[in-house]
Formats: sequence, C-alpha cells, structure tokens
Amino acid sequence: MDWTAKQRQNSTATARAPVKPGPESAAPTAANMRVSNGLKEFLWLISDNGQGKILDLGAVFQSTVMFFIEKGFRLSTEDLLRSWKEFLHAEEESLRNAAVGDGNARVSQGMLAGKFLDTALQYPDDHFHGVLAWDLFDYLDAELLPRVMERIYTVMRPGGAVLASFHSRAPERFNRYKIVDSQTVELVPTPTLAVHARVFQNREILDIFGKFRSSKTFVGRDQVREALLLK
Amino acid sequence: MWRRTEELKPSSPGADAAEPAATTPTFDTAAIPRAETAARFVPAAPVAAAFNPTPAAAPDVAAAINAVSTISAGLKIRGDISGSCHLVIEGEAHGKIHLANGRVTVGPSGRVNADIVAPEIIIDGHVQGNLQARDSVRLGPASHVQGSVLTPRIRIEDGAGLRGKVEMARPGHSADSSGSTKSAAAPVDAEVSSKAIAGAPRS
Repeated sequence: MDWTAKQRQNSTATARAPVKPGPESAAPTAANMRVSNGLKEFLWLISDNGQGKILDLGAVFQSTVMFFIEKGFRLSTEDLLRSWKEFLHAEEESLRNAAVGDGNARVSQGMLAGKFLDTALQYPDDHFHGVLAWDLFDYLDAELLPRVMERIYTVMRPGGAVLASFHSRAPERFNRYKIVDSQTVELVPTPTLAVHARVFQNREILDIFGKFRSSKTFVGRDQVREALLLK
Repeated sequence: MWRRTEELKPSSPGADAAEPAATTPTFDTAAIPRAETAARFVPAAPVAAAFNPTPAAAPDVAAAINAVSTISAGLKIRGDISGSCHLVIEGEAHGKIHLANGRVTVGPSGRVNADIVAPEIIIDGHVQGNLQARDSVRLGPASHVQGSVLTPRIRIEDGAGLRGKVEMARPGHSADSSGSTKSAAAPVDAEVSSKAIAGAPRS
C-alpha cells in the first residue's frame, strides 16, 4: 500500500515541513498524560492494515499490547534501550574478566554496535507496517544510531510508518511511554536506562531518516517533538 | 536427590499410584557443585487421570491438582519435563516443559531456556523460549521473556520485559497466516472471545 497517497481533507500527511505548535498540539493533560498527535496520525496511517504488524521499541506495557491487539494488529515488542544497556553491561563484565594483553579486550564503539545488532532487531525484511520509537533515537550513541536506523528501514515494509519522539532540550527525567488511547500516552517515570545523548534539530532528524521518503513533525509544548516518517 | 515432600502429596485418590514417568529430566551433575545438587527438587506425583485425553476428564483432573514440583535455586535440569502438576522453577531448566494440567511458575531466580506449554504460566524470572498457555500468562515486573507467547489471556506487569510478537485472532480464525507462530492447539475457555498470540523474532 502506498500510504503517501493516503489523503484526507485538510491532510498534510506528506508534508515535509514541521507543524507549528497550535491549539491541538501535544500538551500534557494531566501529570503524566500527554496528548500525542503523532500517535493519532500514526494510527490513521496504519489503519488500512487491520492485521498489520507493529514493532514497539520501548518497554512493554499491558495497555499498549492490548490497545493494538484489540485493533487487530500483531505487536512485537523489543526494548532496545534495555537490551543495549544489558549488552554493554555484559561486555564490560567480559572485558573485566579478560586476561591482560588479550587482544579481544580492545573494542571500539563501532564494533560494539555491530556486535549488538547481531542479536538485536532480528526480523525478516519488509516485515512491519509500523514502528514505535518513543525516547529512543536521541538516547543512542553516535555509532549505534545509524546502524539501528538502517536495520529499522530494512525490516519495515514499503509505505510503513515510524513514529519517533525527540527532546528539544535535555529531559529532566527518563520516561517510558504507555498508550492510553488513540491520542493519549502516559509517561511512566523510570530509572534512567541511558543518558540522553544529544538534542537533534529538525534537519538532523530528517537526515537520520534519510532513506525515508516523507515525514511530519509534531511539536509539543513539553519540548518533545514527534516525528512521523514513511518508508 | 529426589525427595518427596509429604505436605505436598496430592490428595486425589489416583495420585498415589501415579509415577512421574513423563518427567524425565537429565541432570547435569558434572557442572553442579555438590551443594547445588543437594538442592530440593520435589517431583510431584502426576495425577494418573491427567493423562486421559478425553475432554470429559479434564475438569476433574484440574480440580485434583494440588501437587507442586519445585526445581530449586542452584539446580540445573536438561531435558524434557512433562506431567500434570504445578511446577515451580527457581533454578535452571533447558529443554521443553509440557504440563497437561497445572501451572508453571518461573520464580525470580529461575532461568529457563525452553518452550513452555501449560494451562497457566507465570513468569517472574528469565525465559528464553516460547510460551503457550491454554488459560493465561502473567509476566511479573521482574520477568524477562524472549520468545513467543500464545494465550487467551495475558497479564503484563509494569517493568516486565518481553521480546516477541503479539497478535490476536478470533476463535476459529488462523492465528498467523505467515506460519511463523504456532496456532493454539488447546481449547479456549468459553467466556474468552479471543486469544493473544505472540511470536519471537527470528533468532
């Protein structure tokens, strides 16, 4: 399906320019609730695939799983940040136990990233109709990020959509995202899994999604931008 | 090594005669220190009637199960485990686990590298393998599962880790047309209108 051709009245789904904050822009409605226009648009884009496959790259939550299951989607979950942290911890242990002078003890960030992706994000090509990546890409280190983007692009179907969030400034705390309804997510404060690596400008966001052909950005009053991209 | 706990004996009339014939664990004793092998592994006597495949016998069997077998922390088991009792895993299990009746619980210290098939599955430890439950699966807040889940009901506590695919199919419909996940072979409760299926990513 060519989702870029999917249009509705007053829709600018294929526009590449970011959307300015407006009355309907994302804003917290309660302490930990956040209106997500990106999610609303994401769901609209994948709505033609009732049996579509979704990949959630965040923490697994009952409400998120049931939300997609009840809509008839097939949901895969893989907490990439958690896997990365556990992988780094295991590597550190391995290095700590390595004999002095062991050549294997010398590893670069690039080697670590490659080794991590030997076991992570292992899915068939052109498999997913949608990918959710809240608070992920701006937490990955510079060596890992492009490799992850490449892998995500590979496992997505043509026309598939990615919903990702980016912080406009360093976040005060680390949150995981739980879907409450079709346009609301709950931010769940969590012990920090990873350090916020950097703040991306809009142009940089488009650059890291360079292979994707269309995008739309939603800017929230909480300094979180949601980017929706189509393969 | 094998010690039957008196207080855990099944109370059903047929339980005394039952043998744990279907439970054939292989002990990796070479890799386990003496103290670890002395850990308690209590194989409960499976209920003989549980192996009766006739559906009419199932409710009686389910009601009769009050035996609990425990693979204690420090114990490693390699091989297939099957039977009809509750199973608690606090140690390590590698192979396949198939309980016709009863509940499999992987405790916080449990490490399982096996497919688990049981009416009810509760995970609080680490599992690498597919989960298939006829009734329900619960993933506790410290659980970490890498594999598929097939169940009519799933409960995921905040903090749980699940790396796998989840999908839902109405009764009578194919669970996964791609064939990457197994369809439900077990009956589903009448009040359950749907079943959740999860599949693992490719390894």
